[in-house]
Amino acid sequence: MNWDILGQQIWNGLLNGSIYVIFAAGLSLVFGVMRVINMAHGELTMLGAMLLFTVTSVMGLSYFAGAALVVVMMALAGFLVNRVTVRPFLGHSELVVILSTVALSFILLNGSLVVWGSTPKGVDKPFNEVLQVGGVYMTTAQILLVGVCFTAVLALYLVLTRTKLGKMTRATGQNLLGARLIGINTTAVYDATLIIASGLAALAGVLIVLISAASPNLGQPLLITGFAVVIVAGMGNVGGAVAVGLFLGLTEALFGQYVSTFYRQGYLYVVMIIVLLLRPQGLFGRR
Amino acid sequence: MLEITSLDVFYGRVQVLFDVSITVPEGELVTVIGANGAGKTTLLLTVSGVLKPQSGSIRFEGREIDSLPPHEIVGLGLGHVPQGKELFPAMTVLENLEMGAHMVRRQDELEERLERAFESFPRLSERARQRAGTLSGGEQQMLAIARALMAKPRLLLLDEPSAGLAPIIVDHLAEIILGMNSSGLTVLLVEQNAFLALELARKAYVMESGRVVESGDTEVVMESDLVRRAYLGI
Repeated sequence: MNWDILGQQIWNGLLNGSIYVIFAAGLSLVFGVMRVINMAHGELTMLGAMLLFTVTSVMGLSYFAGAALVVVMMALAGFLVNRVTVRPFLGHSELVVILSTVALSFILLNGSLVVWGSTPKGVDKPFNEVLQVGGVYMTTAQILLVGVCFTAVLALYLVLTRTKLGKMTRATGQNLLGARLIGINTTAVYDATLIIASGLAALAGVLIVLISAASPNLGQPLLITGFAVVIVAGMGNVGGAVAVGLFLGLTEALFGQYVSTFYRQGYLYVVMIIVLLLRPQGLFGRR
Repeated sequence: MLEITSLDVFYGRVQVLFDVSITVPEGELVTVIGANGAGKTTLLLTVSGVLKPQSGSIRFEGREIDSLPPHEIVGLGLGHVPQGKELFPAMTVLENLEMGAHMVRRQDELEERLERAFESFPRLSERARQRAGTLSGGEQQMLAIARALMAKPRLLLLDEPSAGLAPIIVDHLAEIILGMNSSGLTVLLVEQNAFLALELARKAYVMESGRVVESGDTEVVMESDLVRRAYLGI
């Protein structure tokens, strides 16, 4: 057993897992509160990455200033996502909302291909020194990514459990009619939910460019992975999505190293199918 | 305090309430009885703003409320304990109560209201840290009422509070409802349990298939042939 290789794969898995966690947390939040499957979540992340490329390379902002600007802009865009693609269709069949978010994702993807082209774009990292910890190589940019992901998820947890807005959001997710009848403005809660989720999606986007290039095509595969995480965890369970995202990121890297590089791509889906067969409501889901 | 005039309500193209008029004077306990499907729950949901009437008007303390969203109606002082309780099952009893007072900004005010809730419902204070979903049916009903009271409503709509509860708990509940009313809360009670409702209320309305078919002082309504036959079985 080469411990350095094991350590390196754990670190690599942690990097991917961090992205899965922050991506799936937003996806799961929207489903948990609104019972809406947001098919555009991946493109919101993609847009975060592409906008960061534009504001840093074209407008000359620093990475941090650009990232902050993009996340705030995308969070505000979450309000429009709700008012234009979700809210008008609530009360119709769930399929209608799914289709309207699919439409949004097509518009964002193809619009981005027109604006930025399909060639991946590199974004300048704020710092990128290589460190050696034990036998494991990591860059400072990677450490930043992991740190920010976990800070964001912890912040989300604190907002949902400690603040009034967070409790009102959970209440609305658990019982919409009950929330309306005690006077919670559920329209405002839905706006806030998509604002937070869209901000988280964009945050994932500005972090992804720390470990790979920005490209209009990065949203789709991420959405599929995100769904695998959310389904394994149990739809709408944000805490479960965090645990499963991390677990799948780690085990996927180890699978690629020790079992098969070739089948690595399929690993997540095999896990998803097995979980669905044994526990259709997901690991943390309730029937 | 609450004046419902000629209310017509539809689910899609199906009319479920026909020309319903009901008045609840301040300080009174008024009941609406009727069989399953008579439109009682629809009536309350329309008053709360969850359903919108096709025509007719709803006035609360003189103010037209039928075009307002539910959260604004609650803000005016109208509480609603729905059929099926509609609690937040994964939140604790304490959190459910806090949610009932979500419009309260001051911490000391919130704590005062919590204290009063636990005083009126000692059972809930024993269960404060427990998830609402783990409570018994009677406790859930208490929590639903206490949650609505956290907003300090002046009018409380109660939808079938006795449904599915054991007789001894129904008696306890009846005392609680009478107690709330005698301390100044106006109550509109909807019940299938006509015995209970007619025992508590001074004024009663009887609904059938979406229409009010009888109304008046409870003693008079109780004596009517319709009620004796259909609801009291005597």
